[in-house]
Amino acid sequence: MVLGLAAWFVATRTHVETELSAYCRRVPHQQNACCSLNCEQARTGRLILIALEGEDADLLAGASKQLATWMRNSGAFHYVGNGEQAWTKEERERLFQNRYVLSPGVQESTFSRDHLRDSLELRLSDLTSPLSPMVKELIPGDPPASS
Amino acid sequence: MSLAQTSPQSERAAESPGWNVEQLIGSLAKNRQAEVRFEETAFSNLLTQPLKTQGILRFTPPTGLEKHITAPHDERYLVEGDTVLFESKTKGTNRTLSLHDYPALRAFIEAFRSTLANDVITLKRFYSVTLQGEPRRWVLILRPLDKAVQELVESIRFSGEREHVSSIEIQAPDGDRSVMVITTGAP
Repeated sequence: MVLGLAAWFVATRTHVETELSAYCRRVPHQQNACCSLNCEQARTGRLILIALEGEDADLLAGASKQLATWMRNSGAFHYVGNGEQAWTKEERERLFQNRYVLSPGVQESTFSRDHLRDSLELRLSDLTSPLSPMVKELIPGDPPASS
Repeated sequence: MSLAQTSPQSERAAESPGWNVEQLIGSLAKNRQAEVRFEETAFSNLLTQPLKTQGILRFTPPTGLEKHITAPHDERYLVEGDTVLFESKTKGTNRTLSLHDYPALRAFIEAFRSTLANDVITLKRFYSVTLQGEPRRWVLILRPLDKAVQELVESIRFSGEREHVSSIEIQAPDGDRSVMVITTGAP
């Protein structure tokens, strides 16, 4: 099982890595699923992805929830995602405002007139989808549907 | 949808005073077809004209539900238990979600799944349920109980005749709505 956690730092890389390492040392042995803890940090020093692996899936799931809770409670992160969709309104707005920075698929051509027109045509189907009530408000502000 | 506009008082079924939501949903489940065809029209503030789609609805009791849009594009929404699969041939995308992570979507899906599965208890966990009309022609109105869902959906109206659903209208609080007309059983 590979679990991705993405977070924005307010602290320095060194500080966070030290704290995470300390957390991993504190968890009980049978839950020490952090046996393989990989931190990948973006060049800006604002985003990390953490994968827990090398243990039973149930154990990893429990450890990942514990780790996410600890990270949230630490106050050192703007946002900790652990696969859940249950974002607060503020978190959703922050992600939406930064959607083009975060999306790997965005290029200059994404915003050309032709591309925007094609994107809007494709998004017509979102209005007939069962998800329409949940996604339609995003369409005017995000024709390319960045992901 | 004219039934929804008549007064509830006049619709009260004098000849069937014991008729209620449980009886209606029970009879729908007993007589439902595994597949039906639909034509849906979406009205949105974002559109200059309504969007029409066609497709097939499939229900596999007790938890399987599929909406397959066949025209003008090809998209499938397949619910099985707590998992939802979205597949768009037009967009070339394929995505799976867990309803645990999307409570609003779960409430939305239960409007259809619980109604078709004769699961009134689950239905009433998510919606206030009102029945208007009489067995011959009726309207079942669902209004979400959860505030977050209320922001997305104002009401879902099933209209029908006897034990068959003839249309489903979804009204959003911003004025958008969609009307799905159940045309015939799929071949």
